[in-house]
Order: sequence, then C-alpha cells, then structure tokens
Amino acid sequence: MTLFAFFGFFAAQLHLEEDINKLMPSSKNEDGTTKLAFADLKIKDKTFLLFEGQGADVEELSQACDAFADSLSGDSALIEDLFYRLDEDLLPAGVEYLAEHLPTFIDTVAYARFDSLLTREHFAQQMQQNHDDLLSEIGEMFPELIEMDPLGMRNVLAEQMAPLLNAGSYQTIDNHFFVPDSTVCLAFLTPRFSSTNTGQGSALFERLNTLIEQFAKIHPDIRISYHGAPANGYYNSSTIKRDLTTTIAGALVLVLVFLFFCFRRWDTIPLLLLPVLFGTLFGMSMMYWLKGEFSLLALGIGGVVLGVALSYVLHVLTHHQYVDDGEQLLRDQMKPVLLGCITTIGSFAGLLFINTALLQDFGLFAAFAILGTTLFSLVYLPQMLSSKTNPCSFKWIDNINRYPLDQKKPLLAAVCLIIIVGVGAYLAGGIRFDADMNNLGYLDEMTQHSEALLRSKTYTGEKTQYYASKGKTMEEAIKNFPILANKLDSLQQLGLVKNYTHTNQLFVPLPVQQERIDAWKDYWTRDKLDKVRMLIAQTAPQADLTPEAFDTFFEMATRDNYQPDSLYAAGLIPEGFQSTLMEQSYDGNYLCFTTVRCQNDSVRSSESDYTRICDAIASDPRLLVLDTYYYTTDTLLQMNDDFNVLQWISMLFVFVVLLLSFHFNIKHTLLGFMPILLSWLIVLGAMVLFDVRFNLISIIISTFIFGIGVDYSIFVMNGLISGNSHQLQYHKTAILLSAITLITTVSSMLLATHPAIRGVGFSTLVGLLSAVVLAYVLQPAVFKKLKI
Amino acid sequence: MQAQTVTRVSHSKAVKTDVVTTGDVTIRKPDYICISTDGGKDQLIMDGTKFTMTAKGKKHITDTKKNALFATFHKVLHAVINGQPIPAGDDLVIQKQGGTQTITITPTDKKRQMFTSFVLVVDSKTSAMKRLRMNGRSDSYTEYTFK
Repeated sequence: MTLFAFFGFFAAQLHLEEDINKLMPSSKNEDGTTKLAFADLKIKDKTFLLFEGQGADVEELSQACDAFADSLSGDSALIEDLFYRLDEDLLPAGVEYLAEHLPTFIDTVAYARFDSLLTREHFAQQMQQNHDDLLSEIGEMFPELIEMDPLGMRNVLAEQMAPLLNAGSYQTIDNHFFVPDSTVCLAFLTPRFSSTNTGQGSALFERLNTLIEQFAKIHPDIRISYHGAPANGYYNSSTIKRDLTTTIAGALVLVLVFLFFCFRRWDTIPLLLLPVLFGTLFGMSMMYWLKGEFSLLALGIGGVVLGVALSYVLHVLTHHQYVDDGEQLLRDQMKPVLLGCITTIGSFAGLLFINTALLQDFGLFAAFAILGTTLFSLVYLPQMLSSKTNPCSFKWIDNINRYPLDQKKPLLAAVCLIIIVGVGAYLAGGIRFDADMNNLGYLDEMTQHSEALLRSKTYTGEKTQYYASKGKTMEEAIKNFPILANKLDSLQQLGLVKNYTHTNQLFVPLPVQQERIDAWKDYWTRDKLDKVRMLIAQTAPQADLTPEAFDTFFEMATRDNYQPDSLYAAGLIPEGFQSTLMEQSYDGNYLCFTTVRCQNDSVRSSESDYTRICDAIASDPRLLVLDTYYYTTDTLLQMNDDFNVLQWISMLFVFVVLLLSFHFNIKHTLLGFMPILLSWLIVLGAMVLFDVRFNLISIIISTFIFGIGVDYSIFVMNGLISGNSHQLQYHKTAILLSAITLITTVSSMLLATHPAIRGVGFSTLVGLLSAVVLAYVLQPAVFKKLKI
Repeated sequence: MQAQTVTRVSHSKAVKTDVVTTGDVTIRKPDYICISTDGGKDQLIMDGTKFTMTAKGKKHITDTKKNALFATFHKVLHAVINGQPIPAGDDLVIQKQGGTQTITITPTDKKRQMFTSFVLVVDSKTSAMKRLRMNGRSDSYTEYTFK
C-alpha cells in the first residue's frame, strides 16, 4: 500500500505532454544547432476559417463572417488575432505612407524608364490617362495619387511590383477576403498558443465548434469550417483519447471478463491488475524523476507494453492454479520470468539510442513498467495468493494443449510454408519505410472538407511552399532576403520556380532605402523639373486638367527630408497579414517569408522540382525551407537505418542472454532464439506482401512483438528442457491466455479511428499470431525431432 | 416614402470641368435613403446602419460599427428622416441661418480617412434635405442638391 501511494503520488505529478511535435526527430546543423524547429514557427499556427455559401451571396457571407468574428471578440485568452477584414482606414493610411516614402519604393533601375517618359508625346497621352484616372473610383477616393504623378511613374512601379501584387490567391470584396469565384469568405485565426500544444488548443476548438453549431441554425445556407495545424493537433489528440477510452478500454473489459470466467475466482482480476497498475505507476514515477514530463501519445501506444507486463502476471497466476506451494511456484517461474523480463527490457532499451524524443520516452517508460510489473509479480504477488488451487478451471485449455499440434504434418508444412513465404517476401522486398509523417496523423472530416474546399477554390495545379530568410533582427532577415530572391530568380530561369512573392519589394533594407532616396534626389534636377513643368503646361489643358493640380509632384520631387523607415514597424500593415510575410519565431529568430509556386510532385522524390528548390535554398544557413518534413525525411531514413542495426543488436543481446541462461548449450539457445527471429521475419514479409510500410509507430510495435516473441519462446523452452510435461503444460496455458488477451486487445486497435493506432493493429496481430504458432507448433516439433 | 430629384456634382481640383449627373432620391422611415444618379451607376444608400456607395458601378460597403464618421452621419440622417432633433456630438457642428440648418460632421479621429467632412443642409421647418456635400481628399468633393 505504501509503495502504491508513494509511486502513485509521483506518477500523478507527471505532466502529460500533448505535443505531437515530439514525434519529429530533431534535425541539426553541422555545428549542432537546430536547423529547423517546427515548433518554433508561429506561421504554422494559422487556422483558416471558411464561410462557404450554399445559396448565400457575398453580402450574406461577409455579414456571417463579421457576426462570427464579433462572437469571438470576447475570447482574447484563446485568440491572439482574427484577421477577417481590411480596416477602412488602411487604404488612406497606405496612400499617406506612400506619399511620405515614395522614393524608397522606387528601384534605381526604374529611372532609366522615367527618362523615356519625359517626352511631349508621352505626356499628351498620359494627361488623358490622368484625366480618366481622376474620374475613376480610385481617383475619386485618392486624387492625390494622380496629382503626385503627372508623368505616369505608377505604370513603371506597377510593373516592378507585379510579382508582389499578383502573388495572392484571394480577392477582397467589401474589405473581406474571398476565393476567386467569391463563393467562400475567409478569416485567418492566430491562436494564443503553439499548434503543437494540443492541450490548450482544446478550449479554442471546442468554442469554435459550439459557435459553428449555433451559426448553422441561424444561417443554414452557410457552412462554416476550419483547418490548419492547430486544428489537426486538437483532433489528433482528442481522437487518441477517445480511442483509448472506448475501443481499447472496451476490449480490455472483454478480456478481463474472459479471464474471470477462465480462472473462476473473484480475486483474479484484482490480482491480475495490481502488478500491471504497480508497473505503470512505477514507470510513470521514473519518467517524472528522470524527465518531468511524458508524451500522451507515447503513453497511449505504451498501452501495448501492458500486454507484455500482463503476460508475466498471467504466468504466475496460471501456475498458481496448478501449484499451491508458493516456493515451488517461485522456483518454476523465477528463471523464465526474469529471463523474459531482461530480454524484453533489452529490446525496449534499444529505443533509447534512436534520435526521437517520443521513442526515447516510450523506451524508458516500457523498460521501467516491465521491471516494476515483474518485480511486483515475483515479490508481492505470491504472498497475496490463497493456498487453494483450481486446476479444473483450465480444463478446456488443457485439452487444446494436449492436442499434439507439433505432430500434425500438414500443420507443420503450412507453418514452414508461411515461414518460407514470409522470409522470401522480406528478402525480395526488404523493409520499406514511410518517411512521410503526414500519413501518421488523423484528419477530421470537417478539417479535411475545409482544406479540400480551399485547395479546390484556389487550385492552380502547382505546389505552394513557404521559404524564409533568417536573422537575429528583422533588419538582418530583410537584408538576407535578396540572397533568397537571387536563388529563386536563378531557379525561375531554369523553369523550376513558377513564381514567388517578392516580399523584399515591400520590406526594403534601410541602406537600400537610403540609396533609393539619394537616387531620387539626384534624378530630379532643376532641368528635369523645368522640363516636366513645361510638358504639363503644354498637355494638361488639352486633357481638361489644371496644371496647378500637379504642384504636389514638385513638392515631392524637391523635398529633402525623406528618411528610410521600417514599414513592418509602422503599424500600417494588419497584424494578420504581416504575420504571413514575417515573424519573430518562438526561439527569438526573425524570419522573412516568401511563398514559392512550383510543379506539384505527387510522388516525393529527390529529383522533383520541389526537392531541387529545397536543396538549393537549404544549402545557405541564412535561408530556411519551412517544411519540417524536408529536413526530417533524411533524419527519419537515417533513423530507420539506425533502428535496423539496433534491432539486430537487440537480437544479439537476446541471443547472448539465452546462451548464458542455457549454460552455453548452443542447440537450446538456437531453438529458443528461432521463434524470435522467425516471427520478426514473418512480420516483415507480411508487410511487404500487404504493402504496409514501416513508420515511426511500427518501430515501437516491433519492439513489442520482439518482446512477446522472446517471452513465449523462453517459457516453452523452459518447459521443454525441464522434461516435466506438466510444467510445459502450465506455461502453454499461460501463453494461450496471454495470446488470447493480447490478440483481442490488438484486434480492437483495428477498429480505432486514429490511423497511427489502427496501423499498429495489423503488424502486431501478424507478429503475435506468428509468435504463438511458432512457440506452440514448431519449437516443440524441432525439439522432439532433434531430441536435444 | 418620399421621392425627390437630385443633382450630383463630382469635383476634383485637377479636373477643370465638374462631372454633373442627375437622378432621384428615395427616403423611407426610419432609416433608409437611396440617392441614385447616372442611371444607377452612382449610388449612395443608407440601409439601417449599413452604407453602400457605388461609384462607376463598383460597390463599397461601410458598416457604421467600424466607422465613426458614418456612425454620426447615420444618426444625423435618422434624425432628419424622422423629423427629430439632431443629436449633439463632438464631431458635429450645427449652424442655423435663415430657414435652414447646416450640419457639419468632421471626424475626430486624427487618422486620414477617405472623407474629410460631411456637410448637410436641411430645411429647419420641414426637415427636408436641401444639399449634401461629402468632402474628400485633396479638396475634391461630391455634392448632392435635392429638389
């Protein structure tokens, strides 16, 4: 009780981290610094809110968007920014800023073009254009834009700015954002937390879902949906929790009922669960002392470890059904249980050498949980057992065990065939690894709809990806942007880049701004200004314009107080928009973004345009590819290689332990080792045959299959070597109960909603069945055949 | 419902000749006005708290909740339509002269906006609108004269 309270207290202190990003292996530069920590990027936290008109027009969509935004106005604890409309003051303020800083936006190469504008022919034409522009909508609103530009510099600037102005996928109607066909209105939400923090995300998305339900009643012709990394994080986390509490918990209840009927004793279930509970609390306490926190996903998948732990308890309890002497029980069980425990811990400990926090967490927890359960099963459990045995309760299992499966030639032939096919498939196909972490995530129907809708409405058939220049200050990031732009220009000439956002046309480095101001002053000499004055006087009246109206231009041309200015700090650009162009990341670095369009690579390959662009950008440490998968794919593949090596090292470890345990009897060792190796190869072969690829989660599961294979094999070998047919029978009963328990639980995983948990089911089921069949059929058959 | 005719004058400092168009005005209590000229290509509509301005066929919607100048403008027009006293405000000056009162709305917000002020002249006795001038940037304006 004291130990339970002690470990229970510290287990309760453990912080369960819901950060799904812990799945990601970290990618490092050569100097050991992190190349891209995806969790540090703020831009990934953007959530897209879509208002889809199902009969509603633009005005209704805008109104619904406004009303929805108003409803969220009181949720500032959850929402940092909701960008859903352009402020009406934005345009006037922008025009004013432009008038005050015009020279800083004119590239020095434009002045050669201005020379060609200073002719009478051009002015005659331009004045007519000015007249028409003044009477247009924009001219009525902002006449100063035309008054400050009699010669039509705006046409040259529009050409210069075209790549920036035409880069967007959205249009604005009534100050709201719409997709090109104006059937969907958009809003961009920035949560007040990182998207990988799914714990805090829950409150926001539960609030959004409630609001969406309310709006669906008021506006039945408008469908509101959302998507983005924070939403995916929330749905992943909540789905894992739901799977754990429904599917898997349901299967566990089923298993416990089954075991209760097998043992026919009221105290079986508490005695079965106590060691597992102790092991879990022990594992969590150790995680608390060593790390302080533990990934929820690792705990979820760690449920399978409890299967191995349960297996040891079952061995002790099953044995007790036949043997009432506690000392005899320990004599019979101590060696195989300890051996199984050591080898299983060895295989889980191998995960500690893999460069992923999640796998390391899982490995540590599994090792400690197994250790705690085993110690409890061997030290405390025997003391709790009553002296009454009940061997009759296993009569039906004994009947199965007595059936000479190892002597049935057709069965042996079938098992051999399965082994040959499995090993053959493995040798032919090898291990195929799925390095795309996207395939591990769960996508909710609503977020899938939202994402697909936005893609279909803005689809250009090309891939869009963010890249960035980096700096310790925003100015440094902006200063580094031309390096990125130069690379992208070269790639565009090669045809790899279709186009990209020229963010540097909006955010100009301060020294460049000063150069431009100097160029402006140098260009507008007295002679040139006299010429412009003369040309206006000659051509303006013909276009029904008053020459004096253009005095603004002369004021601007002769002003000597232009100063470079940081536009990003001017408070002019709405936060929701500016954050898509630049940010100060959570790690303190400043990033200046660009979106690049390139050919869509349906199959990721090192030869695709996308990868070639990424390779070119990533070669400069001042630039970043904002695709964590680009950086982690290589790391993941390397990790897979590491894992393959580790798996063989684990096998060697098990082999050595078996060799020592069987007192260097090589035949016993090889026979004990055979089911472990073969069940593993059958799993790999089945994965090739059914086109199931290895991923990060399968790696965890493989250690489980490995552990359970070791366990079954050791117990059968122990029974065979003892020469005591009863002992073999006791072990086989425990193995069968353990296998039924685990197969039921693992099969329930196939019904789970989360793909990572569902994916665990297939390979585990194949591995479990192989381990049981090999230990039940092949191992005794070979033992008897060779008479060792 | 009242219907009046209207003349719209669009003035720009740079253009010698003002653009003059004609049309009609529809007013409905409690707060609906539609001033439509040039065959509907230019419109100014107040419908509740929402203003829709159409220039050369292009719509621009302003919500009074987001724009203080138009919020006061709405209050004034609402009072005029319903024959109520003009509400006082920091951004509003009322001058009475002869049989008319001139209401000038100037935004208190120092930020530059599309309109620098609105001037509305109404008949003191009947509350009928006589003239509305919307002063824009760079000395431009749009003036409606009601008959």
